[in-house]
Amino acid sequence: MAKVRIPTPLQKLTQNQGEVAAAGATLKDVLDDLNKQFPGIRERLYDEKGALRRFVNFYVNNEDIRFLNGETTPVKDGDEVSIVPAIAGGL
Amino acid sequence: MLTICQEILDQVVAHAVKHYSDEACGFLIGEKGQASVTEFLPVKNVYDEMRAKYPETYPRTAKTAYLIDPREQQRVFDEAERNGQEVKAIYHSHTDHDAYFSQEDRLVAAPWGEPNYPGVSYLVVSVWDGKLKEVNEFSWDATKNDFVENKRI
Repeated sequence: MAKVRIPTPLQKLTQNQGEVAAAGATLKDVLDDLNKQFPGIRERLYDEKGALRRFVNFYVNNEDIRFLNGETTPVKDGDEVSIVPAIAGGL
Repeated sequence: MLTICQEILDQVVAHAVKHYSDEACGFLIGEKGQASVTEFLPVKNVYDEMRAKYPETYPRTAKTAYLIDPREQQRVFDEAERNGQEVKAIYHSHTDHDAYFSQEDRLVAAPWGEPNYPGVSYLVVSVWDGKLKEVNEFSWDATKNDFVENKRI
């Protein structure tokens, strides 16, 4: 199982837990398992086209998955997956 | 509204003016539980760097958008936490546009209908032709379920 850190606005889907356990060999599998445990989380994390939302950052052990292998980034037992809302904007 | 001394406001404005006509961004830090800002922490707008790598995800440019490096963001929040401080505000500039909270600003600040960073204000600095026009602070109002504007400059 990996440890998954949940951002504040999504904690009402995880019974107010800031950290939950989820299983999977890749980030995608872990997020699938997360959605099984906490239905509704998938549409918060993925856009209409099925891609991870651009305003949410995902880390495996503090490494941004965009600089790893994206959704197929491997996850091992005990790894820490963090879901962190981006800080961005503009006109 | 946050308590921000003139010196820190001046630093925010100077940072925004310096990077005109790109958008500038950064953080204001203060002691945990206090309403006043004690530190100014400018960071790099990495929008163009991310655009170079992921043009489909980042279709704009730094002239109309800002993005804080996620690793930098994490570092700032962690370091504040370690020092008994917290992020009080996130600032960015709008170039040749007013200091409004845009649809994009709202979408990213509260993508799921409530703020990502409860209690953190957003400062928007308007710079026209390289000169300061105005600064507004936007903070979440739970009764309105929206960000509300307060004029700073």
